[in-house]
Amino acid sequence: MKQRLFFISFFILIIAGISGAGDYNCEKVVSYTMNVSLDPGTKIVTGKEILTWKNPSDKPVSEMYFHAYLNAFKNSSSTFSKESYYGGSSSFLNRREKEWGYLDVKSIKGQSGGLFSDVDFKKSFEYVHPDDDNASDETVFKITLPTPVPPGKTAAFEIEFESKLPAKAPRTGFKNNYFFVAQWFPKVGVLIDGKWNCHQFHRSSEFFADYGDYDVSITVPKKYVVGASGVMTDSTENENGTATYRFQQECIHDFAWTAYQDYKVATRMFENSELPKVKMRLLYQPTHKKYVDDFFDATANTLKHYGLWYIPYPYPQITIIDAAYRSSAGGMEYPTLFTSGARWLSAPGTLWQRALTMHECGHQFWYGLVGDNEFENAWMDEGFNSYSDARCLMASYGNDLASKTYLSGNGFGIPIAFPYAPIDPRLKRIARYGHTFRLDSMNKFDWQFASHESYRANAYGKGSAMLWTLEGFLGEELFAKIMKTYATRFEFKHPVPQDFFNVVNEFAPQPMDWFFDQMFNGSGVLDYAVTKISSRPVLKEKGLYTKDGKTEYHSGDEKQKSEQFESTVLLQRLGDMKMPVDVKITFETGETVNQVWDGKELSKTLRFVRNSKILRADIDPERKLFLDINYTNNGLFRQKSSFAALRWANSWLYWLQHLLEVAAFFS
Amino acid sequence: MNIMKAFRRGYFLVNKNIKMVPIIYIVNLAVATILTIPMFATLNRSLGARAVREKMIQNFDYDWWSTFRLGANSFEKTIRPSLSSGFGTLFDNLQLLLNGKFTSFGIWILVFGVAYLLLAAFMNGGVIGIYADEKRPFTVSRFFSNSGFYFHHFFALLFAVVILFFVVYKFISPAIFGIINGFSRNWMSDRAVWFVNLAGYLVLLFIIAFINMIFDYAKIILVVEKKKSSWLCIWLGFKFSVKHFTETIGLYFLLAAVGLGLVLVFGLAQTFVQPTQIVMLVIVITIQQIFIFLKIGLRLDFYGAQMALYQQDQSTVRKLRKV
Repeated sequence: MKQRLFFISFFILIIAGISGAGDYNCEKVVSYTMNVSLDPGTKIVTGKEILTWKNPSDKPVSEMYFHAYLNAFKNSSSTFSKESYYGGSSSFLNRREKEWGYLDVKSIKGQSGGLFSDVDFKKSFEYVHPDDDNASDETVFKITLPTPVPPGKTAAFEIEFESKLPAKAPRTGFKNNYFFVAQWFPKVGVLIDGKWNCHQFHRSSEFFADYGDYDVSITVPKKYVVGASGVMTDSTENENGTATYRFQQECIHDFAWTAYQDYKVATRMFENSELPKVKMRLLYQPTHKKYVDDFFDATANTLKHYGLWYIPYPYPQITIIDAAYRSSAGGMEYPTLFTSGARWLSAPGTLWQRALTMHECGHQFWYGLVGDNEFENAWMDEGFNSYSDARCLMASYGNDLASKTYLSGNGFGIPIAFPYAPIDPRLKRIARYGHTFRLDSMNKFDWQFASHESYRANAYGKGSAMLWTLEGFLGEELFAKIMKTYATRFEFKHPVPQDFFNVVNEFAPQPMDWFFDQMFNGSGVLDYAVTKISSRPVLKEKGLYTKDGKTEYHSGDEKQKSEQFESTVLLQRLGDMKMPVDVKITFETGETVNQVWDGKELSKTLRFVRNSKILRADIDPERKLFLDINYTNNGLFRQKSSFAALRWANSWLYWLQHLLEVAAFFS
Repeated sequence: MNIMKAFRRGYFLVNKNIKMVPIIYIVNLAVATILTIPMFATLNRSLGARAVREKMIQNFDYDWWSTFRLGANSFEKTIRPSLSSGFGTLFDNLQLLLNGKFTSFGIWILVFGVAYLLLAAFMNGGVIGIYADEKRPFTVSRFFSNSGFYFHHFFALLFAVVILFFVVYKFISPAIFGIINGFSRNWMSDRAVWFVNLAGYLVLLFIIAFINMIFDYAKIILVVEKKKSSWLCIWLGFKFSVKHFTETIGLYFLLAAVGLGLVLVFGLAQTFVQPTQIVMLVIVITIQQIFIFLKIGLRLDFYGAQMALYQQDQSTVRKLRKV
């Protein structure tokens, strides 16, 4: 035993030494020590948990709130089920008895020798519904303490629980003998300003918890490969054909794990002279061997760019999970572990698989390290991460390509990329969601948005467009400083929107509240357009003119050295949002005029007198304002040209001719 | 019966009556142009003076498309990135053939498709009539006279085939993939699921091809044997296709393979030539129209070769009867 303890300590020291880990500057509110065991037959995880919780507030606390999120998948009456069904997504509800899941808290009592030594809290155990009046929802419970926990003091609880994993539920559960175990244990809520922030499980939302230490021993049948948050510090083969793997990690705010006998394992080291080393451990599907390099490359690029731009990844290991096919576990983030995915057949030249890996890995920073409340301000991780992953994708790989998967469905599909249809990664989400921006303001809790699409539009699309627009408006260098400062200042903390706004205002040459008021509290959209250009010869003097008391007739035929043109450009603000915007006028001689329009009025007419006509006018020519939902109307030529229309009309004609011949096939 | 001999004979028949191809081609072009004119006008309104036209000359601008499609009505929605690729167009239509979602392109394209279907059924009578009486020289009036003469029969055959394909797309295809999805739902390998679905599509493709082939022979028998009943000809076409299964299906897939070869060659050619200047646009138009021309020729080749195969068989039968 002593030898084993020595070995474990030595191993932890080595890992810590490699990475510089252990220097986490985080306030540890919680500590979880768990022993859990998976029965692949019943799909049940049984566990014992010792939770130590420190009251971080300056007020005594007499109630404790916990998440019991697997109960979202217990029946059709949970808030999650109802929101899915009434939101138009009922496929989850089509399941058999053994495919539902639950979290059953068998017992919860005070740890012996602690503040509530041997107190049985099951008596005061009660499901509560802080977000809605759904009495059937069992995703949050509370217990009442016999005496309040004083500020700064610690309470410890021993909890026994049983987690029945659901089949293919969103981001957790099982498929055959594949297990992805997330949101699976009784997890204490977050105490903010003396009040519990512990939301129910919703369809449109993610998670929020406090930082602390996790020490989890997982017992599974020996043939299973296990991946989990943290670092594996010990493994033991048991006599009953099982094996126990111990994972530990300081300063994380959740813990997820996976077990599957067919996982293939690959490891690589991330090394960069300016950043700590990180071991990358990949668990991939047997048919996805060809993507191993892509998984590692995308992860390494994320650790590098996010690390240099924002904050270094401080943990010794990152675990990448290539989630099982149709398991519903792909594309999700957990501390030090994330799920990505791949399809065995993908169109060459497209970046979706690497983009997905980058996005989920990026959440290690925006969610993992900067721990915003995903229930209340999803844009603070999804928007920040969408902005950052597009930046990272561009820096690493350049443009993506448009693609289409033909005959898709049922697990089939022939993916084809279109090399002549490139996509700027910055625009993808804006293109997809731009026109949904106006349904809601960003200042809403996730489940309060008008629709799931509106939630995604505001969290991902508008959030990232706001940051791109800020970068364009303030300049790349200054904005980089702002982002780095914000990330550094709120590492291991729970920032709220105002924290970010304050950092921006601290660095910006002018207060930016006018911007955030429109962006964050408003549902207006930004759309500037050039709608008319004209260039006409300057009106010559014709008629009777009186000068010095003498009236003269001007015929208008007098010769001039060179013909002058008066040109006008009509600029319009078609959206509600107002921002100063650059305008560039190009004349036929090649001369350019750059101006700034404050963008406040509904329209503005610019006038120029030159010896040349206007060639074109562009509003926001360098595309700084990514919030502009229709960039197509930002540039206008004075003269029409039909070539582009002819080109695409011809392509369409060819398509239609071919289509008609398909019709003739049936004749 | 010799497949290659029938194949060569089909080529000979098309070549001998090559003037039929431009007639059908012109009809195809004319019908397509009627819809292309408003499409051009729409595109010109969207791109004519806009600065984005420069990007759209070089590439398909995804950003422009994202906005354009939101304001697009009916058939304008069929403008999409796949048009930028030589193969995109072909895959679009292969997908349509396999999933049978003919209304997915909007009502106007459906109306024009149905109109062309009727025109094609009308001209099929002309084509097969000319082939059946190949000793007489081709004249345009004979072509249209035959078209008119057989139209009521071919319309009946068209009616029958449309019902059959409705059954295929509405019931058989969902049944095939329902079964596949049922037993592969919990498979762990995406590759295995993909291949079993591919097998499903191959079965579906075979069913579609086989029905198409039966009706080809029905039309041929109707004209060659001067039958009065279209329904009887469907039965005879079926009987012939099944009795000489190896030859009929072999010839069908040989002709289909030629079509696939054409698709690959012309798809590649268009991928390498991008119409960013007027000269290149002319080259691309030429390549595309040659492809459509050849495709129509190949469709006529199907009738010619299948008729040759049928006539080979009938001459053998007659010889045997004499003996």
